[in-house]
Amino acid sequence: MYLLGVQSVPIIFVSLGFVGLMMILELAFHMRLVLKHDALVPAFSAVLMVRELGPVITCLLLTSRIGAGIAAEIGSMKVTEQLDALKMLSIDFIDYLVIPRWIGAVFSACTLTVLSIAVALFGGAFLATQKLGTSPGEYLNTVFFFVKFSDVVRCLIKAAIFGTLIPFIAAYQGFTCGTGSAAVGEAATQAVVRTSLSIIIADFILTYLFYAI
Amino acid sequence: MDTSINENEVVKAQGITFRYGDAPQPVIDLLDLSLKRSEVLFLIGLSGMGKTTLLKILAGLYSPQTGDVFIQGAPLAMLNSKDRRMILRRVSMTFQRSGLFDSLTVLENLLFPLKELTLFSPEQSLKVAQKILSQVELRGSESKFPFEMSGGMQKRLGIARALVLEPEVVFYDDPTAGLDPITSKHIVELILKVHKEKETATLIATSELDLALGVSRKNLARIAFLHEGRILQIGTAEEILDSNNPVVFQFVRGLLKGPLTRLESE
Repeated sequence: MYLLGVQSVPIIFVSLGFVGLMMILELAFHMRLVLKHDALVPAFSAVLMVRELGPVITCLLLTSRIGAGIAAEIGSMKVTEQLDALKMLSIDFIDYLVIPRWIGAVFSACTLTVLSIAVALFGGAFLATQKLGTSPGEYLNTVFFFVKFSDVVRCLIKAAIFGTLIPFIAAYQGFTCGTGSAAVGEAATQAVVRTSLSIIIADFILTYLFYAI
Repeated sequence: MDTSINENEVVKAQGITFRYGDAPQPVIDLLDLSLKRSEVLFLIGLSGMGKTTLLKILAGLYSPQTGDVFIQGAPLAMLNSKDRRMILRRVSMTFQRSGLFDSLTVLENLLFPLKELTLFSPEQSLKVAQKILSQVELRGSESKFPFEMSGGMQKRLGIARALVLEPEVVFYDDPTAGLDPITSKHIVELILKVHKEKETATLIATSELDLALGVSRKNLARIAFLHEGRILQIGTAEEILDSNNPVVFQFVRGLLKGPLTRLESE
Protein backbone atom coordinates (compact mmCIF):
# COMPACT_ATOMS: atom_id res chain seq x y z
CA MET A 1 0.00 0.00 0.00
CA TYR A 2 2.87 2.32 0.86
CA LEU A 3 4.61 1.65 -2.46
CA LEU A 4 1.42 1.67 -4.52
CA GLY A 5 -0.30 4.63 -2.93
CA VAL A 6 1.67 6.83 -0.57
CA GLN A 7 4.72 7.17 -2.80
CA SER A 8 2.44 8.26 -5.66
CA VAL A 9 1.01 11.19 -3.70
CA PRO A 10 3.50 13.94 -4.71
CA ILE A 11 3.33 13.41 -8.49
CA ILE A 12 -0.47 13.06 -8.45
CA PHE A 13 -1.10 16.08 -6.23
CA VAL A 14 1.24 18.35 -8.23
CA SER A 15 -0.20 17.19 -11.56
CA LEU A 16 -3.85 17.46 -10.56
CA GLY A 17 -3.23 20.80 -8.81
CA PHE A 18 -1.95 22.27 -12.07
CA VAL A 19 -4.76 20.63 -14.06
CA GLY A 20 -7.21 22.43 -11.75
CA LEU A 21 -5.49 25.77 -12.37
CA MET A 22 -5.30 25.22 -16.14
CA MET A 23 -9.01 24.34 -16.33
CA ILE A 24 -10.04 27.56 -14.64
CA LEU A 25 -7.95 29.60 -17.11
CA GLU A 26 -9.22 27.75 -20.18
CA LEU A 27 -12.88 27.70 -19.16
CA ALA A 28 -12.81 31.36 -18.13
CA PHE A 29 -11.30 32.38 -21.47
CA HIS A 30 -13.80 30.43 -23.56
CA MET A 31 -16.85 31.30 -21.47
CA ARG A 32 -16.05 34.99 -21.66
CA LEU A 33 -15.56 34.63 -25.40
CA VAL A 34 -18.80 32.73 -26.06
CA LEU A 35 -21.15 33.47 -23.17
CA LYS A 36 -19.68 36.86 -22.21
CA HIS A 37 -19.57 35.88 -18.52
CA ASP A 38 -17.67 33.40 -16.35
CA ALA A 39 -20.00 32.72 -13.43
CA LEU A 40 -20.30 29.01 -14.26
CA VAL A 41 -16.57 28.37 -14.50
CA PRO A 42 -16.32 26.77 -11.01
CA ALA A 43 -19.31 24.55 -11.71
CA PHE A 44 -18.08 23.27 -15.07
CA SER A 45 -14.55 22.76 -13.87
CA ALA A 46 -15.72 20.81 -10.80
CA VAL A 47 -18.12 18.61 -12.77
CA LEU A 48 -15.48 17.88 -15.38
CA MET A 49 -12.93 17.13 -12.69
CA VAL A 50 -15.17 14.78 -10.70
CA ARG A 51 -16.70 12.98 -13.65
CA GLU A 52 -13.71 12.65 -15.96
CA LEU A 53 -10.33 14.20 -15.33
CA GLY A 54 -9.98 13.28 -11.64
CA PRO A 55 -10.19 9.49 -11.99
CA VAL A 56 -8.65 9.32 -15.47
CA ILE A 57 -5.57 11.48 -14.87
CA THR A 58 -4.98 10.04 -11.38
CA CYS A 59 -5.12 6.48 -12.70
CA LEU A 60 -3.00 7.26 -15.77
CA LEU A 61 -0.34 8.67 -13.44
CA LEU A 62 -0.72 5.65 -11.16
CA THR A 63 -0.25 3.42 -14.21
CA SER A 64 3.05 5.03 -15.12
CA ARG A 65 4.25 4.62 -11.54
CA ILE A 66 2.91 1.31 -10.30
CA GLY A 67 1.87 -0.47 -13.53
CA ALA A 68 5.42 -0.40 -14.84
CA GLY A 69 6.72 -1.40 -11.42
CA ILE A 70 4.42 -4.41 -11.08
CA ALA A 71 5.23 -5.66 -14.60
CA ALA A 72 8.98 -5.21 -14.06
CA GLU A 73 8.89 -6.88 -10.64
CA ILE A 74 6.95 -9.93 -11.81
CA GLY A 75 8.92 -10.09 -15.08
CA SER A 76 12.16 -10.03 -13.14
CA MET A 77 10.82 -12.77 -10.84
CA LYS A 78 10.14 -14.83 -13.95
CA VAL A 79 13.61 -14.24 -15.40
CA THR A 80 15.32 -15.15 -12.12
CA GLU A 81 13.13 -18.28 -11.74
CA GLN A 82 11.44 -16.99 -8.59
CA LEU A 83 8.06 -17.78 -10.17
CA ASP A 84 9.22 -21.36 -10.76
CA ALA A 85 10.30 -21.50 -7.11
CA LEU A 86 6.83 -20.32 -6.04
CA LYS A 87 5.24 -22.91 -8.32
CA MET A 88 7.45 -25.61 -6.77
CA LEU A 89 5.95 -24.60 -3.43
CA SER A 90 2.44 -24.94 -4.94
CA ILE A 91 1.78 -21.28 -4.29
CA ASP A 92 -0.90 -19.69 -6.43
CA PHE A 93 0.59 -16.71 -8.31
CA ILE A 94 -2.74 -14.88 -8.40
CA ASP A 95 -3.35 -15.25 -4.66
CA TYR A 96 0.21 -14.40 -3.69
CA LEU A 97 1.27 -11.78 -6.24
CA VAL A 98 -1.82 -10.26 -7.84
CA ILE A 99 -4.58 -10.07 -5.23
CA PRO A 100 -2.58 -7.99 -2.68
CA ARG A 101 -1.53 -5.61 -5.46
CA TRP A 102 -5.12 -5.43 -6.70
CA ILE A 103 -6.43 -4.50 -3.25
CA GLY A 104 -3.63 -1.92 -2.87
CA ALA A 105 -4.22 -0.47 -6.33
CA VAL A 106 -8.01 -0.16 -5.94
CA PHE A 107 -7.68 1.44 -2.52
CA SER A 108 -4.94 3.78 -3.78
CA ALA A 109 -6.85 4.69 -6.95
CA CYS A 110 -10.02 5.57 -4.99
CA THR A 111 -8.34 7.54 -2.20
CA LEU A 112 -5.88 9.31 -4.49
CA THR A 113 -8.68 10.23 -6.90
CA VAL A 114 -10.73 11.84 -4.11
CA LEU A 115 -7.72 13.63 -2.62
CA SER A 116 -6.41 14.80 -5.99
CA ILE A 117 -9.84 16.17 -6.93
CA ALA A 118 -9.82 18.07 -3.64
CA VAL A 119 -6.37 19.46 -4.46
CA ALA A 120 -7.52 20.46 -7.97
CA LEU A 121 -10.64 22.15 -6.58
CA PHE A 122 -8.64 24.07 -3.97
CA GLY A 123 -6.21 25.13 -6.69
CA GLY A 124 -9.15 26.20 -8.82
CA ALA A 125 -10.72 28.08 -5.92
CA PHE A 126 -7.47 29.94 -5.32
CA LEU A 127 -7.15 30.97 -8.97
CA ALA A 128 -10.84 31.80 -9.26
CA THR A 129 -10.55 34.23 -6.36
CA GLN A 130 -7.48 35.82 -7.94
CA LYS A 131 -8.56 35.89 -11.59
CA LEU A 132 -12.37 35.84 -11.61
CA GLY A 133 -13.04 37.79 -8.45
CA THR A 134 -15.14 34.95 -6.99
CA SER A 135 -14.93 34.46 -3.24
CA PRO A 136 -13.86 31.00 -1.97
CA GLY A 137 -17.27 30.52 -0.35
CA GLU A 138 -19.08 31.40 -3.57
CA TYR A 139 -16.81 29.06 -5.51
CA LEU A 140 -17.44 26.12 -3.17
CA ASN A 141 -21.21 26.81 -3.06
CA THR A 142 -21.38 26.63 -6.85
CA VAL A 143 -19.28 23.45 -6.85
CA PHE A 144 -21.49 21.68 -4.29
CA PHE A 145 -24.63 22.83 -6.09
CA PHE A 146 -23.61 21.34 -9.43
CA VAL A 147 -21.67 18.26 -8.34
CA LYS A 148 -24.21 15.62 -7.29
CA PHE A 149 -23.67 12.68 -4.97
CA SER A 150 -24.19 10.36 -7.96
CA ASP A 151 -21.21 12.06 -9.67
CA VAL A 152 -19.01 11.17 -6.70
CA VAL A 153 -20.26 7.56 -6.73
CA ARG A 154 -19.58 7.29 -10.47
CA CYS A 155 -16.16 8.83 -9.97
CA LEU A 156 -15.34 6.17 -7.36
CA ILE A 157 -16.70 3.38 -9.58
CA LYS A 158 -14.40 4.58 -12.36
CA ALA A 159 -11.42 4.80 -10.00
CA ALA A 160 -12.08 1.27 -8.69
CA ILE A 161 -12.34 -0.16 -12.21
CA PHE A 162 -9.20 1.65 -13.41
CA GLY A 163 -7.46 0.54 -10.21
CA THR A 164 -8.41 -3.03 -11.11
CA LEU A 165 -7.11 -2.73 -14.67
CA ILE A 166 -3.66 -1.52 -13.54
CA PRO A 167 -2.43 -4.55 -11.54
CA PHE A 168 -4.12 -7.19 -13.69
CA ILE A 169 -2.75 -5.91 -17.01
CA ALA A 170 0.67 -5.21 -15.50
CA ALA A 171 0.83 -8.63 -13.84
CA TYR A 172 -0.19 -10.30 -17.10
CA GLN A 173 2.64 -8.48 -18.89
CA GLY A 174 5.05 -9.64 -16.18
CA PHE A 175 3.90 -13.27 -16.28
CA THR A 176 4.14 -13.42 -20.08
CA CYS A 177 7.46 -11.58 -20.37
CA GLY A 178 10.30 -13.27 -22.22
CA THR A 179 13.74 -14.03 -20.87
CA GLY A 180 16.47 -11.42 -20.33
CA SER A 181 16.55 -7.89 -18.99
CA ALA A 182 15.37 -6.41 -22.31
CA ALA A 183 12.20 -8.47 -22.03
CA VAL A 184 11.57 -7.09 -18.53
CA GLY A 185 11.89 -3.53 -19.86
CA GLU A 186 9.56 -4.37 -22.73
CA ALA A 187 7.03 -5.87 -20.32
CA ALA A 188 7.09 -2.68 -18.22
CA THR A 189 6.60 -0.50 -21.31
CA GLN A 190 3.78 -2.67 -22.63
CA ALA A 191 2.13 -2.60 -19.21
CA VAL A 192 2.00 1.21 -19.26
CA VAL A 193 0.86 1.41 -22.90
CA ARG A 194 -1.85 -1.24 -22.62
CA THR A 195 -3.14 -0.10 -19.24
CA SER A 196 -3.30 3.54 -20.37
CA LEU A 197 -5.25 2.56 -23.48
CA SER A 198 -7.54 0.32 -21.44
CA ILE A 199 -8.25 3.13 -18.98
CA ILE A 200 -9.16 5.57 -21.76
CA ILE A 201 -11.40 3.03 -23.52
CA ALA A 202 -12.97 1.93 -20.21
CA ASP A 203 -13.60 5.59 -19.35
CA PHE A 204 -15.53 6.06 -22.60
CA ILE A 205 -17.59 2.90 -22.02
CA LEU A 206 -18.37 3.83 -18.42
CA THR A 207 -19.30 7.41 -19.29
CA TYR A 208 -21.56 6.11 -22.06
CA LEU A 209 -23.22 3.65 -19.67
CA PHE A 210 -23.65 6.27 -16.93
CA TYR A 211 -25.41 8.62 -19.33
CA ALA A 212 -27.51 5.72 -20.66
CA ILE A 213 -28.69 4.73 -17.17
CA MET B 1 8.50 -48.08 -24.70
CA ASP B 2 8.53 -49.71 -21.28
CA THR B 3 5.27 -48.84 -19.56
CA SER B 4 5.86 -50.79 -16.36
CA ILE B 5 6.62 -48.91 -13.14
CA ASN B 6 9.31 -50.36 -10.95
CA GLU B 7 8.82 -49.85 -7.21
CA ASN B 8 12.41 -48.72 -6.98
CA GLU B 9 11.88 -45.89 -9.47
CA VAL B 10 10.90 -42.70 -7.65
CA VAL B 11 10.74 -40.62 -10.81
CA LYS B 12 10.02 -42.01 -14.24
CA ALA B 13 9.56 -40.11 -17.50
CA GLN B 14 7.82 -42.10 -20.20
CA GLY B 15 7.82 -41.00 -23.83
CA ILE B 16 7.75 -37.31 -22.97
CA THR B 17 7.86 -34.66 -25.68
CA PHE B 18 7.97 -30.94 -25.01
CA ARG B 19 8.21 -27.93 -27.30
CA TYR B 20 8.05 -24.22 -26.46
CA GLY B 21 5.08 -22.47 -28.12
CA ASP B 22 5.00 -23.07 -31.86
CA ALA B 23 8.67 -24.06 -32.16
CA PRO B 24 9.10 -26.62 -34.98
CA GLN B 25 11.62 -28.76 -33.09
CA PRO B 26 10.77 -30.24 -29.71
CA VAL B 27 13.25 -29.53 -26.91
CA ILE B 28 12.49 -32.94 -25.40
CA ASP B 29 11.70 -35.66 -27.90
CA LEU B 30 10.01 -38.92 -26.79
CA LEU B 31 12.36 -39.22 -23.84
CA ASP B 32 12.40 -42.05 -21.30
CA LEU B 33 14.31 -41.72 -18.04
CA SER B 34 14.08 -43.12 -14.55
CA LEU B 35 15.59 -42.06 -11.25
CA LYS B 36 15.91 -44.78 -8.65
CA ARG B 37 15.42 -44.49 -4.90
CA SER B 38 18.47 -42.99 -3.13
CA GLU B 39 20.54 -42.81 -6.29
CA VAL B 40 22.56 -39.93 -7.76
CA LEU B 41 22.08 -39.43 -11.47
CA PHE B 42 23.99 -36.83 -13.48
CA LEU B 43 22.39 -35.35 -16.55
CA ILE B 44 25.09 -34.08 -18.87
CA GLY B 45 25.07 -32.55 -22.32
CA LEU B 46 25.85 -29.41 -24.24
CA SER B 47 24.21 -26.14 -23.25
CA GLY B 48 20.81 -25.62 -24.84
CA MET B 49 20.09 -29.33 -25.24
CA GLY B 50 17.14 -29.30 -22.84
CA LYS B 51 18.61 -30.19 -19.44
CA THR B 52 16.79 -27.40 -17.58
CA THR B 53 13.58 -28.05 -19.50
CA LEU B 54 13.75 -31.75 -18.64
CA LEU B 55 14.29 -31.00 -14.96
CA LYS B 56 11.34 -28.61 -14.94
CA ILE B 57 9.14 -31.23 -16.60
CA LEU B 58 10.17 -33.85 -14.04
CA ALA B 59 9.49 -31.35 -11.24
CA GLY B 60 5.99 -30.72 -12.58
CA LEU B 61 6.70 -27.12 -13.55
CA TYR B 62 6.09 -27.80 -17.25
CA SER B 63 3.59 -30.26 -18.67
CA PRO B 64 4.85 -32.42 -21.53
CA GLN B 65 2.78 -32.51 -24.74
CA THR B 66 3.06 -36.30 -24.94
CA GLY B 67 3.97 -38.96 -22.42
CA ASP B 68 3.86 -38.61 -18.67
CA VAL B 69 6.00 -38.26 -15.58
CA PHE B 70 5.45 -40.68 -12.70
CA ILE B 71 6.45 -39.66 -9.20
CA GLN B 72 6.54 -42.73 -6.96
CA GLY B 73 4.25 -44.42 -9.47
CA ALA B 74 1.69 -41.62 -9.63
CA PRO B 75 1.16 -40.21 -13.15
CA LEU B 76 1.25 -36.39 -12.88
CA ALA B 77 -0.98 -35.78 -15.92
CA MET B 78 -3.75 -38.00 -14.53
CA LEU B 79 -3.88 -36.49 -11.05
CA ASN B 80 -6.29 -33.81 -9.89
CA SER B 81 -4.68 -30.60 -8.72
CA LYS B 82 -4.88 -31.52 -5.00
CA ASP B 83 -3.24 -34.94 -5.43
CA ARG B 84 -0.70 -33.42 -7.79
CA ARG B 85 0.26 -30.85 -5.16
CA MET B 86 0.56 -33.59 -2.52
CA ILE B 87 2.81 -35.73 -4.75
CA LEU B 88 4.96 -32.78 -5.82
CA ARG B 89 5.55 -31.90 -2.15
CA ARG B 90 8.01 -34.81 -2.20
CA VAL B 91 10.01 -33.16 -4.97
CA SER B 92 12.25 -30.13 -4.74
CA MET B 93 14.55 -28.26 -7.05
CA THR B 94 17.36 -25.72 -7.07
CA PHE B 95 17.49 -23.32 -9.96
CA GLN B 96 20.21 -22.23 -12.35
CA ARG B 97 19.48 -18.54 -11.68
CA SER B 98 19.03 -19.26 -7.96
CA GLY B 99 15.26 -18.59 -7.83
CA LEU B 100 15.75 -17.10 -4.38
CA PHE B 101 13.14 -14.60 -3.26
CA ASP B 102 15.16 -11.40 -3.42
CA SER B 103 12.77 -9.39 -1.26
CA LEU B 104 13.22 -11.87 1.61
CA THR B 105 16.24 -12.39 3.85
CA VAL B 106 18.11 -15.69 4.07
CA LEU B 107 16.07 -16.79 7.08
CA GLU B 108 12.78 -15.66 5.53
CA ASN B 109 13.60 -17.60 2.35
CA LEU B 110 13.60 -20.74 4.50
CA LEU B 111 10.71 -19.81 6.76
CA PHE B 112 8.43 -18.97 3.83
CA PRO B 113 7.97 -22.58 2.57
CA LEU B 114 7.57 -23.81 6.15
CA LYS B 115 4.92 -21.19 6.84
CA GLU B 116 3.01 -21.85 3.62
CA LEU B 117 3.18 -25.64 3.50
CA THR B 118 3.48 -27.00 7.03
CA LEU B 119 1.57 -26.72 10.28
CA PHE B 120 4.72 -25.91 12.25
CA SER B 121 4.57 -23.25 14.91
CA PRO B 122 6.86 -20.22 14.32
CA GLU B 123 9.28 -21.64 16.93
CA GLN B 124 9.38 -25.05 15.23
CA SER B 125 9.90 -23.42 11.82
CA LEU B 126 12.74 -21.32 13.18
CA LYS B 127 14.39 -24.41 14.65
CA VAL B 128 14.13 -26.30 11.34
CA ALA B 129 15.44 -23.31 9.35
CA GLN B 130 18.41 -22.83 11.68
CA LYS B 131 19.28 -26.52 11.53
CA ILE B 132 19.31 -26.42 7.72
CA LEU B 133 21.36 -23.21 7.77
CA SER B 134 23.93 -24.96 9.95
CA GLN B 135 24.07 -27.87 7.51
CA VAL B 136 24.84 -25.56 4.59
CA GLU B 137 27.16 -23.42 6.75
CA LEU B 138 25.15 -20.24 6.47
CA ARG B 139 24.61 -19.56 10.18
CA GLY B 140 25.34 -15.90 10.84
CA SER B 141 23.91 -14.82 7.46
CA GLU B 142 20.25 -15.01 8.51
CA SER B 143 19.53 -11.32 8.06
CA LYS B 144 21.32 -10.92 4.72
CA PHE B 145 19.41 -10.57 1.48
CA PRO B 146 20.34 -12.94 -1.40
CA PHE B 147 21.80 -10.08 -3.46
CA GLU B 148 24.23 -9.32 -0.61
CA MET B 149 25.71 -12.81 -0.86
CA SER B 150 28.35 -14.40 -3.09
CA GLY B 151 27.40 -16.87 -5.84
CA GLY B 152 28.50 -19.82 -3.70
CA MET B 153 26.45 -18.65 -0.72
CA GLN B 154 23.42 -18.18 -2.95
CA LYS B 155 23.80 -21.74 -4.24
CA ARG B 156 24.04 -23.01 -0.66
CA LEU B 157 20.92 -21.06 0.28
CA GLY B 158 19.16 -22.53 -2.78
CA ILE B 159 20.11 -26.00 -1.57
CA ALA B 160 18.92 -25.19 1.94
CA ARG B 161 15.57 -24.00 0.65
CA ALA B 162 15.23 -27.09 -1.52
CA LEU B 163 15.80 -29.29 1.54
CA VAL B 164 13.79 -27.42 4.13
CA LEU B 165 10.61 -29.42 3.47
CA GLU B 166 12.55 -32.72 3.58
CA PRO B 167 11.83 -33.85 0.01
CA GLU B 168 12.46 -37.40 -1.20
CA VAL B 169 13.65 -36.24 -4.62
CA VAL B 170 15.89 -33.24 -5.33
CA PHE B 171 16.76 -31.84 -8.74
CA TYR B 172 19.81 -29.58 -8.99
CA ASP B 173 19.97 -27.41 -12.10
CA ASP B 174 23.61 -26.60 -12.88
CA PRO B 175 24.52 -26.15 -9.20
CA THR B 176 28.12 -25.18 -9.95
CA ALA B 177 27.47 -22.79 -12.86
CA GLY B 178 29.59 -19.65 -12.64
CA LEU B 179 31.50 -20.80 -9.55
CA ASP B 180 35.27 -21.14 -9.11
CA PRO B 181 36.64 -24.72 -8.86
CA ILE B 182 37.02 -24.65 -5.07
CA THR B 183 33.52 -23.34 -4.43
CA SER B 184 32.20 -25.82 -7.03
CA LYS B 185 33.82 -28.69 -5.18
CA HIS B 186 32.41 -27.41 -1.91
CA ILE B 187 28.89 -27.29 -3.38
CA VAL B 188 29.18 -30.79 -4.83
CA GLU B 189 30.42 -32.15 -1.50
CA LEU B 190 27.49 -30.46 0.21
CA ILE B 191 25.03 -32.04 -2.24
CA LEU B 192 26.57 -35.48 -1.71
CA LYS B 193 26.64 -35.03 2.07
CA VAL B 194 22.96 -34.11 2.08
CA HIS B 195 22.20 -37.02 -0.25
CA LYS B 196 23.97 -39.42 2.10
CA GLU B 197 22.29 -38.07 5.22
CA LYS B 198 18.77 -37.88 3.86
CA GLU B 199 18.99 -40.61 1.20
CA THR B 200 17.26 -38.42 -1.34
CA ALA B 201 17.03 -39.44 -4.97
CA THR B 202 19.23 -36.81 -6.62
CA LEU B 203 19.34 -35.65 -10.21
CA ILE B 204 22.06 -33.14 -11.08
CA ALA B 205 22.05 -31.38 -14.45
CA THR B 206 25.47 -30.04 -15.44
CA SER B 207 27.65 -29.27 -18.43
CA GLU B 208 30.78 -30.11 -16.42
CA LEU B 209 31.82 -33.59 -17.45
CA ASP B 210 34.74 -33.83 -15.02
CA LEU B 211 32.44 -33.15 -12.11
CA ALA B 212 30.04 -35.91 -13.16
CA LEU B 213 32.85 -38.39 -13.87
CA GLY B 214 34.59 -37.69 -10.56
CA VAL B 215 31.46 -38.21 -8.48
CA SER B 216 30.33 -41.16 -10.58
CA ARG B 217 33.59 -43.03 -10.00
CA LYS B 218 33.52 -42.45 -6.24
CA ASN B 219 29.83 -42.90 -5.53
CA LEU B 220 28.70 -45.20 -8.32
CA ALA B 221 26.42 -42.46 -9.61
CA ARG B 222 24.98 -43.01 -13.05
CA ILE B 223 25.44 -40.50 -15.85
CA ALA B 224 22.84 -39.81 -18.55
CA PHE B 225 23.89 -38.02 -21.72
CA LEU B 226 21.17 -35.76 -23.13
CA HIS B 227 21.37 -34.61 -26.71
CA GLU B 228 18.68 -32.96 -28.85
CA GLY B 229 15.99 -33.90 -26.37
CA ARG B 230 16.89 -37.59 -26.08
CA ILE B 231 19.00 -39.66 -23.73
CA LEU B 232 21.75 -41.01 -25.98
CA GLN B 233 23.45 -43.09 -23.31
CA ILE B 234 23.10 -43.83 -19.63
CA GLY B 235 25.56 -45.69 -17.46
CA THR B 236 28.58 -45.52 -15.18
CA ALA B 237 31.55 -43.22 -15.78
CA GLU B 238 33.43 -46.02 -17.53
CA GLU B 239 30.49 -46.87 -19.77
CA ILE B 240 30.17 -43.21 -20.80
CA LEU B 241 33.91 -42.91 -21.41
CA ASP B 242 33.95 -46.09 -23.52
CA SER B 243 30.86 -45.13 -25.49
CA ASN B 244 30.76 -45.96 -29.19
CA ASN B 245 28.16 -43.31 -29.84
CA PRO B 246 29.97 -40.64 -31.95
CA VAL B 247 28.22 -37.73 -30.16
CA VAL B 248 29.06 -39.01 -26.67
CA PHE B 249 32.56 -39.93 -27.86
CA GLN B 250 33.21 -36.38 -29.10
CA PHE B 251 31.74 -34.78 -25.94
CA VAL B 252 33.71 -36.86 -23.42
CA ARG B 253 36.96 -36.36 -25.30
CA GLY B 254 36.34 -32.69 -26.04
CA LEU B 255 37.14 -33.14 -29.72
CA LEU B 256 36.74 -30.13 -32.00
CA LYS B 257 35.65 -32.22 -34.97
CA GLY B 258 32.66 -34.51 -34.89
CA PRO B 259 28.87 -34.63 -35.10
CA LEU B 260 28.41 -32.06 -32.31
CA THR B 261 30.42 -29.33 -34.04
CA ARG B 262 28.99 -30.22 -37.43
CA LEU B 263 25.51 -29.71 -36.03
CA GLU B 264 26.51 -26.36 -34.55
CA SER B 265 28.09 -25.11 -37.80
CA GLU B 266 25.00 -26.16 -39.76
